[in-house]
Amino acid sequence: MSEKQVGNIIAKGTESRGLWGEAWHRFKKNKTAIAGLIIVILLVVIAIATWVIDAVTQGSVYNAYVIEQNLSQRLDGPSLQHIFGCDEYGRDILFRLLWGTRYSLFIGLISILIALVGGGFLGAVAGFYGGKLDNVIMRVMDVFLSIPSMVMAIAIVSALGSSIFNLLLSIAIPQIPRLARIVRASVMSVRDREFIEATRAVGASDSLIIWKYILPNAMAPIIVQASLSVGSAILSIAGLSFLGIGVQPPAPEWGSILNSARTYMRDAWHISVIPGLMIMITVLSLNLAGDGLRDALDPKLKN
Amino acid sequence: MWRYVLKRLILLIPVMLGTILVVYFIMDRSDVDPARVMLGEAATEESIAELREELGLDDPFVVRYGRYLWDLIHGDMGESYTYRTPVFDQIMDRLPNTFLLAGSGVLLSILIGIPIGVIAAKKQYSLFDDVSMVFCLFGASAPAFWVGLVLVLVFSLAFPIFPASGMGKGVGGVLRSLVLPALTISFSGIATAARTTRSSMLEVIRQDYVDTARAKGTSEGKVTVRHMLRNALIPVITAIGLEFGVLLGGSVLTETVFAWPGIGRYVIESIKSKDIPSVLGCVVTLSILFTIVNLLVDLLYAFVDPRIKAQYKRAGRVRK
Repeated sequence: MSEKQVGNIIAKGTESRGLWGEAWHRFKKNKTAIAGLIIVILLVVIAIATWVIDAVTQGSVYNAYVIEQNLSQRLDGPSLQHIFGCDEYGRDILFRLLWGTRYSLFIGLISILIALVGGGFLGAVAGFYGGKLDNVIMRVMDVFLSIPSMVMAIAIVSALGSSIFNLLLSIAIPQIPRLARIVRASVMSVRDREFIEATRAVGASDSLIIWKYILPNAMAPIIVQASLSVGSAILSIAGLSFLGIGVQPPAPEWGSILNSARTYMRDAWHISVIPGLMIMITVLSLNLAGDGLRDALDPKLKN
Repeated sequence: MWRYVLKRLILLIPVMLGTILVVYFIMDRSDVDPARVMLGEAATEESIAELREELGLDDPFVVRYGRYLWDLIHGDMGESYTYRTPVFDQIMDRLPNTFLLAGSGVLLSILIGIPIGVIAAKKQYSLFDDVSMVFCLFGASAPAFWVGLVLVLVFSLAFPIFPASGMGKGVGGVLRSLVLPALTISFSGIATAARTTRSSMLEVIRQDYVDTARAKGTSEGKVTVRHMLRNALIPVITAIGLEFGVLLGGSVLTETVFAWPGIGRYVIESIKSKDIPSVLGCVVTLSILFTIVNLLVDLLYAFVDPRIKAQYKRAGRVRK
């Protein structure tokens, strides 16, 4: 073996893909995670597509297929024409499910983003400065953690009303302490490393150090937790809508379809089964993708 | 150990005060005017203002919060707008039913979830392992209320074995009507317990002390329970403890599906009739319950794991 060949082998063996390249490499090998990711992408495409269709047709498709009642096909079971059947107003359930995708995905993603910003800020400050400030922030977080998230969401919506904004808040706020804890722990694990000391020595400000040097190095567990939270956020929205205090009818939110389906369970089983399957598949794919992300970003986190 | 318990009990007070403050603050944002609701549609502005004055509704927030706390300590949560009776009594009437439901949910999670996890771990990569882990994945992703609907479709409508809603009379009736709600509420708990037990068992299953126990001639059953499960149980306790919070939140959904006469259904009824004192009372009660359960789980944890006990003996309070 020539020296050059040996050199090549060494170069190949130590070839660096970077954190994200390495993670993607590991993620690709995880078949269930890839399956989850594909379904999630498909759902995102559906959400965007329905949005675009509404924008282009100025809502005429939405009104004709999702909202308009057609009592002649009331409670019709699944058939070739309507593969998922029709609801109590004769509306095609497939269309309602497709148009409902955006509520779950949109509220799920945005609420977790809000929680990420809020929890990220509180956790980063607490972890970076430590001491009294840390103590105060984390004790307040403890208080928020001692209210069951569904109960807190119900309190917020019942006091403020169920506008989309309030729904986002009611789902985001209970998630803040969980994310704050994780951000705090990750920040603390990086805070005292030498390279942080070095940046401080050259005179970088605290906010610059946190933003540019600490957070990027503490990102993996935060992203994992956030991605796994989206699924539970979607379950919360569906739950609130099912209780009649979330997204209001006639909007085709999945949980809200299940709520109205309850009255017709005896005559039309399909209305109460299919939307639930849709919720389950969505949450399942998010969880699978999130689990895969966890294993890919940090194999040590695998429980 | 008792000092630790006492310390935790004292620490509970500020957390509870804070919890009630947060909940009171949120509910205080409501635009429902209690005076207007109590006097009805026909009331004049003057009489409303008078009642507001009388009830102290125009006092500063801190004063009202203080008064609520003071009353709460004396078992007074105000009067329900709908029932015109003390909220406290309404809640106490329903609390046992919620306890029964949540308790059987936890019990089912333990009785079904842990054995599934143990068997799956002992027969890793077997068909049982695969099937049960797929079930767990679905269980953790399915909305609890939908599981309830499907159970009703199958076991009340298609095969009328159990009642679809309400609470039966007598012990037998209650138990019969409890089956479906308890299964519903424990569905994700079973999945969580099974998954945690399995992964925690897998960590201890190949430890040297397990082989030692076997070599000493201990029966396989004893090895599994005494040497593996006991060491694997700590993360499972945490998981089930955390699940209890989900369960209390889930009680709202499950009780709504099955018209179970508990606090969860009461809170939804109260929201719909804008009965703010009742909503507040329910939310406060559920949060206090959750706090107490969390404390109990933490204490249980310390009792089960000698390492934690030792830690507290040495260093006093250790951060989680």
